[in-house]
Amino acid sequence: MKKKFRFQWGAFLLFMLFAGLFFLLFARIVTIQATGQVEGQELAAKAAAKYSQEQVLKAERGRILDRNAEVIAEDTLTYKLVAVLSDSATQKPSNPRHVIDIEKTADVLSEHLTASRETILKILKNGVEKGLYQVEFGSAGREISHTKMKELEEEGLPGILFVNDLKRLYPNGAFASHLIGFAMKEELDGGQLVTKGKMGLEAIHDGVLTGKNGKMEFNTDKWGYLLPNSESAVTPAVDGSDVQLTLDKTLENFLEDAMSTVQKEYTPKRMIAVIADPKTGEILAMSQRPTFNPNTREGLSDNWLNESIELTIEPGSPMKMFTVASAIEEGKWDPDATYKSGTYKLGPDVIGDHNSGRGWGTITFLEGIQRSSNVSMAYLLERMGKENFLKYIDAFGFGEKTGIDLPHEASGKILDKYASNVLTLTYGQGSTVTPIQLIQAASAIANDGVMMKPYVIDQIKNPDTGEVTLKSEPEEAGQPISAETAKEVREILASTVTSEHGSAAGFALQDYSSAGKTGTAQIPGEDGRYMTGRNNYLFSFLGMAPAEDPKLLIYIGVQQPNLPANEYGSVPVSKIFTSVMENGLKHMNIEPEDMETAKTVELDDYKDKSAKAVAKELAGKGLNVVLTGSASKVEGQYPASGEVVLENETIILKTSGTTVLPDFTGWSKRSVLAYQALSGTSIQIVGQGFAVSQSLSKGSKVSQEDPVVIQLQTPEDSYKVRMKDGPEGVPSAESDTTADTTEAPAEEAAASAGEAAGEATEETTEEQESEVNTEE
Amino acid sequence: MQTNKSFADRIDWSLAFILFLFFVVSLIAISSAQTAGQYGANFVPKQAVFYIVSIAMIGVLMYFDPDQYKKTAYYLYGFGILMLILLMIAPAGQGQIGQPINGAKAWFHLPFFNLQPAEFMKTFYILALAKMAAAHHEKNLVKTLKTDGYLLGKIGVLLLIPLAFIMQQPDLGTALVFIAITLALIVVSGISWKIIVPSFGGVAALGVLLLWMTLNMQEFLTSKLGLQPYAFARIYTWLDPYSYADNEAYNLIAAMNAIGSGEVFGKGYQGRQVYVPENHTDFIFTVISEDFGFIGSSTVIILFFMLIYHLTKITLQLKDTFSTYVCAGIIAMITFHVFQNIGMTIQLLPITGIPLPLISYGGSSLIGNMLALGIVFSMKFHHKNYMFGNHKEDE
Repeated sequence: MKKKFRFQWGAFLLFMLFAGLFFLLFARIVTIQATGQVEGQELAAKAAAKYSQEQVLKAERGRILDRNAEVIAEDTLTYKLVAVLSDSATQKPSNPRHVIDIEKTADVLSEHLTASRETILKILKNGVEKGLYQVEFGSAGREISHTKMKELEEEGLPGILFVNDLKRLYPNGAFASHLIGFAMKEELDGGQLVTKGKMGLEAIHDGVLTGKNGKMEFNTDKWGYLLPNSESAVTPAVDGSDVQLTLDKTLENFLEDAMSTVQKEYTPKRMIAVIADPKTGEILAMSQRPTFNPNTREGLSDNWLNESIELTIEPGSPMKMFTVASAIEEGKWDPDATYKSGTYKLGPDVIGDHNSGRGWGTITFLEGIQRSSNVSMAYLLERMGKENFLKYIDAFGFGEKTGIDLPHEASGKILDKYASNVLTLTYGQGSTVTPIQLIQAASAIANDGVMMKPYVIDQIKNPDTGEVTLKSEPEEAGQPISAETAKEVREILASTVTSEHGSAAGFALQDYSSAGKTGTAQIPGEDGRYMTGRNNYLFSFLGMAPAEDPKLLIYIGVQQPNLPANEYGSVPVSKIFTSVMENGLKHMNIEPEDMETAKTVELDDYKDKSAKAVAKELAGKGLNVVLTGSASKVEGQYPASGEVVLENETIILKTSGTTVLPDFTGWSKRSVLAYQALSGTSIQIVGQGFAVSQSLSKGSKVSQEDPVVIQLQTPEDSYKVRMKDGPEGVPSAESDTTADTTEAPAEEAAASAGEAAGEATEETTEEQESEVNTEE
Repeated sequence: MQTNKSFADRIDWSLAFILFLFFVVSLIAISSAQTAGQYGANFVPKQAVFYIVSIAMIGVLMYFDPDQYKKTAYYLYGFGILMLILLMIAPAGQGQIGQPINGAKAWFHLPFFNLQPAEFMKTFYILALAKMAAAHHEKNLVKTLKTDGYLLGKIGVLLLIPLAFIMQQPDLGTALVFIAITLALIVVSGISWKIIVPSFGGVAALGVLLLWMTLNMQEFLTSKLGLQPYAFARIYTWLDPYSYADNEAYNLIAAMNAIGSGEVFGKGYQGRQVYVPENHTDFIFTVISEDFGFIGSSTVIILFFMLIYHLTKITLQLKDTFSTYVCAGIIAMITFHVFQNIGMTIQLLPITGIPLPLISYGGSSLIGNMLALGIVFSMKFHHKNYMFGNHKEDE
């Protein structure tokens, strides 16, 4: 019995020992699994991190495209340069995979990268000292193009690797930059780099543009070898959706070029321009200055506003087209009726015409609008009545957001509390509007009374899935006026361009008729009063072309340009208008009105062909051929091959040998410049427009040193300056001030406007007079 | 045979049911481990076949009564030693029968599976040890410190022969199992506490001293005792895995990440995220923990506890010393296996390569363990006092 007892006691102890061991296991598992931690290490997080031992399949960010699917913004493949320093990367000494000769590596890299030899050497040395596996070279080693990567690869440097990288590229440079915005790499908390939209459409549609990265999960063993049969774990990347805009790349480029030229010449404080298709409301181009290059963000200031829709302005005289439209629709418009121009009194308020209130005597209402008379507007308001007029202002959409598919749109403010507010509204002072509201309202005039809501996004479509998340269709925004009224307004506006009194004479196009209304709006300074001085206006133009059936509608605003003494504020505006409209309408294959029968010739590439034969061939097609030299072989040409030219246009063929000057008369500045470039002669151009004289006569043999002076003149200059015309805007009463206090600044500003008018002149041409037919 | 109970009633169905649960758990765990198809072979049907083979083996084992095991114990022991000698001298070249796996020459490469003699040797050793201890007690009815010391010496000799072969393979894990079995048998064999306490205490103190020296006196160990520095790595990685995370402690950290991230309910069948090497064999517990969470791991531990508890109950019923010694050895073997295997995945013990009994994939391990359990089945089956036993135990 004793023996048995002793045994059982031992067994009991042993069993307790086993039970204790199991308890230990339990306790340990509870601490690990219930708390999920070992020594403060989050195991679940670590497990997930291990799981993400996966290769990220990078999704491309969606592109931004123009209406013809031309690229505005896209991801491009670049390379990041990495130098491996650790000798553990090399398995066979005969095939080194790490940097061996630091000096030589620095030498070669500095030849190809932007960084200096010293910088590269320092980075390499630093990395070696710290025992790093590899080093990178900051911005100098990033965004390396494919060509450069190939060049570097050919150098055969050991240990230099290239890692694929995606970069956001804006191939057009400054291009509707405040609309498109930009996206840039951003580092997440985990050190991961993502491209994120920061501004403009890139930011607004960041969600749809951003793709979904895919991944390739792989289970590796401890040595990093991929285990078999794990390809099922590949999640393909879904690229971001493409945002297709209504913008037309070519038109936008025309606009950007024209804006840049004017910017350079006049350095205005700001410029805004919007081009729309009046039939649909599609925005075809949108630009502003100052602008920036989205690739480098060079030029990006604090002003991130897309001013076309976010800036409110006192529009000035372009507003008159809506006043006239209202009057016509109300049946209160009689173009032949006369009124006494000069000043207009409304209670204690006096407004005057822009020539210091002198006016032009008793003139017809048609001449009133052609001369941009404020007083004529006052009489039209009187005829219509305040309430009626405001009804139209409302119907044209002023004071309310257009609802364009962009955020942060401003609504502007229509002042209608006092009679004087409404009075100044008739000529666009006091109340504020946005450029896009002007475009929308003018679309009613251009589009036979039907106002079109503006929009910039055509569709958003995913290139991978084909899924269309957004598709825009033209949307009517009301019909403030009838088709007949719209037509009549266009005719009146066309007369402001064509009539001898027209304030918009500089806005005539060569091949198309145009219609529109200039503006010289006063701008409130910092003290709330209108600024004085001849540059301190917002010079603008709201116009359309061709006048009969407008295909393009444009608003251009140029604020505070530095005008030369002999130029007036409408010149920079007209420079943008004429070049953009002329080129834009041609680009759109709108048939030039007065050249309907003109034959067109498409140019071939004539390089290396016989100059004689080419000249003969082209002359046979009705073109004027000019050779720059005496040699027989063509070396170059202007215009380039593929260009379509009209009959009688000048074709310059570059040939070497002695240059014999042609007769430059009638040549455009562009042709003269092309001739200068192709011939290599030193031609000096004086003036603007078309050639009228040359310092060496036709047939003179010139060498490259002989200076040739060619005098250009705008067609308008050839005619007698008839009118002395100046800024038309006359100050209005400020919104909430009483009538008494408004009088004094109004007169003061009118006086200053008059001073400016003394120097400034708007001209018209006799030639265009014949086209005046608005009364009919 | 000596009772009037029917044949079926004499089979321990409780133990059979527990083994059936192990069978289910094993197949689920192995199949859950094969998420990535990383082995190019499906181990689930193979393991099922091993189970079926071992059940047939249990049937055969039950045919023999404990007396026959007692009689043949030394022959089986000798056979086991012979196998270890053969393994040691077997050609170890590429594709040859004795080719080492993971640096250990512990397997015979046979056409259908790899045979690990040490797995069987454990049971043979238990039988021989039990026979020797029982015979000693029969001969020395009066216990003195001298007889106890003599018994301890004999046990030591029986242990040292297989231990030497196994250490030379080398297979530290299995060697430790032999030591665990021996310690358990020393305790149950009734050797005086006056011997046990100082000798166990001395061994424990020596162990602690060595551990302390590996941490603080590495130079002394390497220069004076000729130990290789890499031998310490196992200790360092055990005590401070995060400092050695890239290299030696990779397995431990991966195992703990797997277990810890399973949290309470686990990630679901094949929901594994952490790749732990050898997770169908030695690290099968990480799969259970990660995929089935705390619920799953507790279930497995409770299942083992039920097995041990049940075996202990059987041991207490058995009246002859040989049988009780055998059972105690088997309990010690299984318990130590479980403790060592699970313990190494949760940083309780250093990592050694031994499988989780009845669950890890592997023919030798499973059949070796089933061999031991088959002997328990036989002892229960042939238990003479069966009809007088209390009724709670035979359902």
